[in-house]
Formats: sequence, C-alpha cells, structure tokens
Amino acid sequence: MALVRLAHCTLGVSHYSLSVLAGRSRMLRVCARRLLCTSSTGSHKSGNFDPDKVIRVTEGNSIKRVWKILRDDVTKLPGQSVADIKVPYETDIVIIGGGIMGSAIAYWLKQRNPKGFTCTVVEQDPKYTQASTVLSVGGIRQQFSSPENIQMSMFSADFLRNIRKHLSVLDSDPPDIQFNPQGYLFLASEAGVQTLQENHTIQKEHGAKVVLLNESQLKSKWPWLHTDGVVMGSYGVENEGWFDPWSLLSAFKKKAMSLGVQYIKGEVVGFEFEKIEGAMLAETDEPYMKSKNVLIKADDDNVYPLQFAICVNACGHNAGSVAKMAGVGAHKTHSVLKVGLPVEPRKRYVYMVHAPTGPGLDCPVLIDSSGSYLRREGLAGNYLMGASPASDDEPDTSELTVDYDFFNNRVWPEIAHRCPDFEELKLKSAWAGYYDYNTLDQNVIIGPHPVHGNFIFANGFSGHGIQQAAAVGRAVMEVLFDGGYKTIDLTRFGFERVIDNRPQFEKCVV
Amino acid sequence: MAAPMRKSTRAIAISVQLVRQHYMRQQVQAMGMLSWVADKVSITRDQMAYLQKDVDWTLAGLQRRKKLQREEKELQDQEFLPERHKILGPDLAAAHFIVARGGAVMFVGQQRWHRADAEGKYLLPDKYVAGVHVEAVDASSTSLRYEGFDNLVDLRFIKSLILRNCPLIDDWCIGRLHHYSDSLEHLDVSGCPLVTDRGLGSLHKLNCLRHLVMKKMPGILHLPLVTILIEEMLVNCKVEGADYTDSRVQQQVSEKFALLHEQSKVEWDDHSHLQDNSSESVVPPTLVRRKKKSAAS
Repeated sequence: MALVRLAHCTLGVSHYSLSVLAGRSRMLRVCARRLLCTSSTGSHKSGNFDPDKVIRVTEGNSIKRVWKILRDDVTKLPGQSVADIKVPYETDIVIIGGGIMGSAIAYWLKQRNPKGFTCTVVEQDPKYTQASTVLSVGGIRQQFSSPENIQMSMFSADFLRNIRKHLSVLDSDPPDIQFNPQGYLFLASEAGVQTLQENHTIQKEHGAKVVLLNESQLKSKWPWLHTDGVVMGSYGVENEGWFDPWSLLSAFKKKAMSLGVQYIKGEVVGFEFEKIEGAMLAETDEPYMKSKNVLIKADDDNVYPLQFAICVNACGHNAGSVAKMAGVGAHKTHSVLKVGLPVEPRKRYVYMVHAPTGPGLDCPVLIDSSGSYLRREGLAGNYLMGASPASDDEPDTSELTVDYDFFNNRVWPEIAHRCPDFEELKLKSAWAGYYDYNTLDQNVIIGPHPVHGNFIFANGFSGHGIQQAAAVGRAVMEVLFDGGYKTIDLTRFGFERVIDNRPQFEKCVV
Repeated sequence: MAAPMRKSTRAIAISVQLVRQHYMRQQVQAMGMLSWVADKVSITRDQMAYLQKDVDWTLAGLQRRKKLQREEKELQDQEFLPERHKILGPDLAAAHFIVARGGAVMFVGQQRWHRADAEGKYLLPDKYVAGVHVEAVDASSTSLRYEGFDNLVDLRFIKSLILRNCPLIDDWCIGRLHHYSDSLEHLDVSGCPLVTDRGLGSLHKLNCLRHLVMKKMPGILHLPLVTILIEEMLVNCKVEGADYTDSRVQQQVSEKFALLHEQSKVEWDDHSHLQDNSSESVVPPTLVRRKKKSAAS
C-alpha cells in the first residue's frame, strides 16, 4: 500500500487531486484502508520491546477501529499542545535521528516538494543532551584526502554563506551561525610531509583554497608557534574556520518544521516486517521480508507502530544498533544480510582553557603533527583543545564522563610544546561527546542498502559530519527523488564497500 | 560600455522564458486527457511541486516575492562575465563594474576618481589598454556583495579598498580579501552592519596592510576591545577604530573584560566538582555564554 502511495508521489497524478482535498478525505482514506486490511500487520518483528505494550489501531473489530480513528482525529483539535501528539499512523519517509543529519535531510527532502509527501523525524531526546551535533567543536575545512569530502565541504561552505536565503523562515530573524573564517593549519613533521603534499595536490585539483608553508614562513606568520620538528604546514585561506553547530541545527529544524516535517519524540525499539509475495532471498530460499513499520516507544512507555515507505538512518552513534533492528546484520548466513553497519560510538573529550598570554585573533584551528588540536573561543582568552586517542587507548563509551588525566598526559604537553604560551593555563571546563566512528575507513556510509532498498544510510562521519550535513542532505534527496547522485557522486561511499570489505580511507581525520 | 553585459543577460532571460512557456503549454495540454497523457508526457516532480505550491496573495506575500525577485536580479547583475574580462582585461573590467554600480575607481599614476554622474554616464575606455591599473576602489554605499568580488580579480596594483556603509559586505567577503594580500595597504569597512570581529580577525592574511579604518561598526558589540585585539594582531598597521584612550571608554572596556572573565571564572583546587557531571549539567560553553549575555545586556 505504501509503495503504491509512493508511486503516486512519483507520477504525481492522482495524488495531486487527493491532496487538494482537506484532511477529512485523508481520514476517510485511512479508515477505508484500515477496514480492508487484516488485523495482523506482519509475521516478523525485531528489536527489544514488550509486545503487549504495542498499541495498534488495527486491532479489534471494524466498528471499534472506525471509532478509534474518528475519536483520535476529533481530539486533535487546533490549540492542543505539541506534547499531546504521539506517533502518527503512517508517513511516507521516516528519518530516524533528529540531529544535524536528520534535520538537514528532512529540510532538503521537503523543500523539493513540500506538498507531495509526508515526512517524520523521530528523535529520542529533543534536548540533544548526548547528540554529537551540539557537543561538536563546529569546524569546517576542505583539507581532506578524498575528493568527495572536499567537494561536500565546499558545497556546505557555499550553503552556510547563503544561509539567510536558504533557511530563513518568514517573519523570524534570519539564522546567524557566527562563522569565523580563520582557517585550519595542519602541521606535518618529517614523517607526514609526503602525505601532506599528496593531499594538497588533490585539494588544489578540486578547487580548495589552501597553501603550503615551509618552516620559516610558518614562523613569520605566526610568531608564537614553536616550529621545532615541523617541516611543513598546510593552511586553508578561504571557506575554512568554525561556526556554532547549535544555531545550524535549530535553523535546519525550524525551516524543516515550517515546510511541514513532523518531529516526534520517541525511541525506536524495533521494526516490523512483511512478506512480499513472490520475492525470495537468492542464497537461502527464504521469503524476503521487507520492513514496514517502525516501532516507536513514546513518553507513556507504550509502543506505537509507524508505517513508512522509506526509512533514513541518521542516528549518529546509535546507527549500528538501529540498522541491526532493521535487518542489516541480523541474518546468520546470508552473505549480504549478515554484514552489519560498522558504526560505533567513540568518546572524544574537548577541554576549554583560559590562557591570558595565548595567541590573539590570528589563532587558526591548529592541528598539530601529534594529533592534538587547538582553537580560540571568543575574545576573552579562552581556547578549546583536544585530541583523538590512539586506537588501542579508546575510552569506555557507556557514559559521557570526562577524563582529565588525558588532558594532563596527552593534550596539554603536546599543545604547550607547540605553543609555549600555553605553559600557563587554567582548565575552565570540559565535556565529552561521541564520534559516530566508521570502523571500516572513517568515511561516510551513504545510500540505500542493496537488499533492503527502502532503508537509506547517512552514517559514519567519524568527526567531520557537521561540515558535510548540507551536502549529505542534498545527496540523499538526489538518491530518493532523482534516482542517483546528480551533483557530487558518492557511489564510492555506498554500503557495497562494507560488504566487499573495500575500505576507502580518509587520511585527514582529526 | 555596459552594453555587452546587458545583451547577454537579456538573452538568458528570454531563453528561460521560452522554456517555461513550453512547459506550461505542455501542462495545459496534459490536464485534458490525464490517463493518455501519463503515458506520453511524464510530469516531473518539480513541475508537480510548482503546481501544488501555495501562492500567498496577501500584501506581505506579494512584497516578499518582489523582494526575492529583486535580490535574484541583483545577484545576476553581479555575476562574473568572462566576455567583459576578455574585452577589457582585469583592471578595466573591474573599473567598469564598480563605476556602473555607483562606486568610484582611481588608476595608478592619476589623482582623480572616476565616478558616474547623476545620469549614470561615465567615461572609461571600452577596450583593453595596456598599462592601465586600478590603484583604489571606492564602493561605499553600493550593493556590492560576495559574488561581486568575482569581478575584482587580478588587481595586482590595488592599494586602497573603501567599503564604507555597504549593507551586504559580511565576514565571508572580508575572508575573501586575501587575494589582495601582496598589495593592499588601506582598508575601510566603517559602517558595514554585517562585518563582525570574526571577519576582521582574518585580516592577518593581508601582509601589506598599513591602515585599517573600522569606525562605527554596528555589528561589533565590544568595539574598543576589538580595536585593541586587532592592533595587537596587525603590528605594522595603523588601526582607526573606537578611541580607547578615553578614560570613560577604558572604564567600559575593563568592565566588559571583567564580565567576560566572570562568566568563566571558577574557583577550584581539584577537578572533583567537574567530574560528577550528569548529562544535564554538561552544557557546551557557547550555550552558557549566550544566556549570560542576554542577562547582562
């Protein structure tokens, strides 16, 4: 049924005439479908939830079902608070995860055809206390080694520059992301010079504005820099810097909501599947089970099924577990379905310090050859610094507590060595956030699953997601509405490389 | 002088009109026999979205649409035209671009500003002349924007750039000025509402900058403080910003600095009070700063 509705969306012919009528006719359509369909929706469920707590509108005899639907429609009167809206019965496209990726994808989808389909974003924590988006440092750079990453960042910079045009909601103040055009400075020691130069060639080829500087040039440009051990530096002169990720997230969310995207609070606890007549899995001769409903646990601890046609996975660090619920990696023997999504949370710390004698306004986002990074925050002598731990030293991800020994043993000594002004500093505060780390190759996994064609990935950004959000949203829109990538070709980053174990490495991961 | 540009934009506008008319004619024909037509002509998603769009017929909606159309036109007007640069060369093309939009230019070796008169007429060569280079550009109070800087490329002798009271010059434009890093000596951005301390902080890329004027910046909250920081950053440059030698201003600056410190001042001996952070109490610094600013101001 949902497929047929989507086909209507594509042709737009009969759906146009139906959508012109008021909501009442939509209710009648839903009634008719509920009356006609059988009481059990699917013969296969997955996930961890209590089956007794699932509230279904399809249960009971036909009179009861009509009464329930009519009652729900009447109680949804204008003036009711948003908190009373639980989970809708159905939607065309459901996006799991309401962070920067989910909101950007929702915006790009809806702005293409606001009336043509319904879109719902499921977010388990509307305060975003553990979301990677708001805990990120908010940098944007074009200094990558993969051409697609460079192009995505360049497009995002373009998008952020024109944010007033794209994301203004009428009668509200235009969004201001407070962009700081300072640029990233990557420092390379003897060991890393070769890689730096190769990356520089690729970056220049694709239009990034970066320059290479030798040791004396670095010293003359930034006198406070201690260039001991540094052979070369790569500096981005345009379209690089940092901005406020919270403003960008709320700008995307507000614009998406103004276009008609519905944000609901709920936790995804499972999926329900249905058998497709005549479709069999090739290897195992089982019937193919297509995901039909996503089970969402709302505030009242009840689980509601939400029927969808297409599901987009934009969960951030929980992407692996949600994908498993949807059948990616849940099968025991099938060669494609047994491969799970290789995205897991990795904890990263950010420390805010105050250094009265620190570098002034010309402090770039400094990425030292040892891996530690530093950037200025505000005008009062505060700085943010951090580092990615070595791969065998990864901290435990069960809670977002901060480890100050890591600052004392790794971050501070490395930054103080590079910039002696930081010998004396005061640690003001710190926080921890998750990277949605792609354990295969630290690059995005994007596109539909080869078998579950209605499940789209947008995961695994490994620390550079905030700067690619606008481009990723557009890419997912092109995949769903144009049938393929039209602007930046991200076929190389599809899920197929995970199945074939063909990593496409990104060398510049901070 | 400005003729080549106008013709080509009109040509583009006419071809777009023709294509649109063709599609509208197709739509009108399609509405008659839907099922038959669905086989022959597939209505694309974008066409359907255009048909389903709500048209806001209120006065405010009409004004909004007119404003959008005006902005589109301005954007098209400031596009880079390769023909202009082919015929005139980079310096004269930039001169024509600026003067035609209400600005003024001065050439190397001359002392007079070339500006359009009240009727919009001006006298500049209409073909490439060797040895003519732009030394100063005055685009004050014009609608010059980021895309307009595409036309001001390859100005190797430019020494002075005056952008006083330009409503559309923002931090992104200032970040783009690094192209003139080898020659620009004088920059004036007074009165530009969208320029903030973040954009001015990227001026260290201009190696030859000797004189920076930033008086009356509506976009900067703590102008005396920012003036001091910019002076510290640009050691060889004379910065004309807020006068921070005035004792009253000094008092204000020290109060504001103390306030900024106060926001993040923490008396502690060990890290224990920071370690028991449940997810509610860990608030990113940017959020805290914004809340306190509204309380203070």
